[in-house]
Amino acid sequence: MDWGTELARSHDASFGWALRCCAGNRAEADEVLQTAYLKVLDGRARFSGRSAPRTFLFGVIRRTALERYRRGQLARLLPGRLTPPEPDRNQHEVAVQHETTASLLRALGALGRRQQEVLHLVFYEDLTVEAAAGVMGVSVGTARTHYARGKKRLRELLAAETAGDGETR
Amino acid sequence: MNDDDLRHRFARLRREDAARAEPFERVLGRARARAAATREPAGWVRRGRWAVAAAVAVAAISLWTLRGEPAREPDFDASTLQALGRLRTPTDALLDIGVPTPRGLRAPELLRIPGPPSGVPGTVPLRESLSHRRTLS
Repeated sequence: MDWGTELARSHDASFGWALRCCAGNRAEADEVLQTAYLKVLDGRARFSGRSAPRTFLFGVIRRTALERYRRGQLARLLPGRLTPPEPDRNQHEVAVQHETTASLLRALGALGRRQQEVLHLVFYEDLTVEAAAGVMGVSVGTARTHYARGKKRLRELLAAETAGDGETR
Repeated sequence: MNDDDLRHRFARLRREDAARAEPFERVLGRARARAAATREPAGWVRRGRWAVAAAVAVAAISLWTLRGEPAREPDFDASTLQALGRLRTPTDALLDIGVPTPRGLRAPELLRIPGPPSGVPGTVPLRESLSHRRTLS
């Protein structure tokens, strides 16, 4: 498997996924993407061939983001740390141009982490729910539940926002 | 709002993200440069650290386990228990009540085995009570 070509081909999608895994934090997403690429290219993350290469790559990105997040949490707890504080993970970068995108990100931010992940993987990355379950490391049934509940809630939030916009006009 | 509407919104988000993404070559170049600057320890060093940590943990658990009070003396020694007729094997007990053993022995042949002394407070003269029950039945 030529991972250089595969990573280049999936780069845009990987960046989007890294952004979602880092709650929209651009700097964090860049760091995560770099680390994940190195893991794959150096063979520290081994591809067993049981899933599609893209599913595997997204799984590596997700795990890397979680590792960084946990390390950041631990660093905050340790007394006398020398590293500067990590930026707030829940702060979305204010670099979104279109209003519909902004409202979508706001609505996504109100969902649980698993719901955000499965909706992103299905709607943004065009993966099946089964493949999304593989990336998230959960069973297909669990992924389906998060997908159904997340979609319902997302629709409600977007509809409420649209109705709110209509009233203010 | 149906699935298609959601797909449109996510497609717009994808296009905006793609416009913000750095080129792949630049991301990979920075990753390589960072990896060269911060060289990770060799595999045997990392494994060695884990081995030392595991050894320390095992030693700590062993010390914790062995630190305890001195072993307590039993309340009764073996001879006392034997005298009271309580130190009997399960086979002895079965033979006492006449249950056939694999060798076909029955209780009458075993009456020579000394039973519990009667009259000792706290003991039950097993053979006597059983024979009494047999008599009654």
